[in-house]
Amino acid sequence: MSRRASGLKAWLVQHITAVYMLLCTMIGAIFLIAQQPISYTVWKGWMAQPLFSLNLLLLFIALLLHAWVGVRNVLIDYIKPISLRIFLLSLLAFGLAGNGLWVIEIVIRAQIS
Amino acid sequence: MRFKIYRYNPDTDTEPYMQEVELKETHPGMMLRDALLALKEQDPSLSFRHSCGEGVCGSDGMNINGKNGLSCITPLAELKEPIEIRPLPGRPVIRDLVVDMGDFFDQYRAVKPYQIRKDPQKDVEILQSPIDRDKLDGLYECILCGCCSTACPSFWWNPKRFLGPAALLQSWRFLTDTRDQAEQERLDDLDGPYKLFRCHTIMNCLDVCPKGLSPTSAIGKIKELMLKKAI
Repeated sequence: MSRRASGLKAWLVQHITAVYMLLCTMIGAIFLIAQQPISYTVWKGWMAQPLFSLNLLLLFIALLLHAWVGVRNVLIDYIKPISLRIFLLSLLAFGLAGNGLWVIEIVIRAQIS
Repeated sequence: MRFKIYRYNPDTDTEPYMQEVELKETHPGMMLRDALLALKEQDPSLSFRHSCGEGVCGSDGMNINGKNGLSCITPLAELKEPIEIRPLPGRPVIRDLVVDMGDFFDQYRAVKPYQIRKDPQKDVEILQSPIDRDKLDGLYECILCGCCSTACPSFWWNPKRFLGPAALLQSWRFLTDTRDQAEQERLDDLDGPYKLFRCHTIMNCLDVCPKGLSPTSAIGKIKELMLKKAI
């Protein structure tokens, strides 16, 4: 992310992902209430449908991007020593990337089995 | 009337302290500035800035019972006792209620708060329609007292890199001025994570503005314009 772009772009990403997550959470909550009771087999059935698993994947991408911008903002505000900030930003990036890969793994495994 | 006033004289004090003082005589309609002047007669070492006494010069911004404001237009009768007076938050204290506003004015200077014209200068006025002129209402009235920027946590954390609400209000004042011709340059100057985007819409600025202005909406409009020009 270039120095120039990281202002407007980050702000835009934060807002678009927020709207997407809000919509997904609302629809998801209604869906979960309507589909009770939920078991592992029911969940696996949902995961086999591309519409569900793709939306879940998108939701997590949105969540990770949103978290990246938000936590980056907090670090820029409060962490002044540049080396500590880079260390914490890297830690955050690895943490978020790890979580993202984990979600991808879950979605793929649910598709295969 | 009881007061608790922040006192600090770097020549004699090792650290700041709160001084409790009492003002015996008050009169109806008395403003806080009048009270401070009366207290200064009791103790001439009390330092604070003030000038016009009617909310125009913007010299006497201070933190009054936890909220920034101008002492000259703050009626004493509206304040809860003991009235706690502190310097504007987040700024280095020079003495008592006098703070260093250097960063604040540097940021104001940075937004180029003047009309930039590219067309050759003519010897006639540059006219505006009444509708275009109305766009400047709520922006030009700023008196640069600094109450907003010193109430902004983002400005506390990054006073050298975040422009702060006062400077951003002025930035929008010139961006929206139909006579100004440097829109693109102004927007380019504002991009990046610091100058504009440290604003997290906390809205302390519009809560404290003694002139009732809204830097928050001005900042929102700058972001909107930036987005329009980027897409």
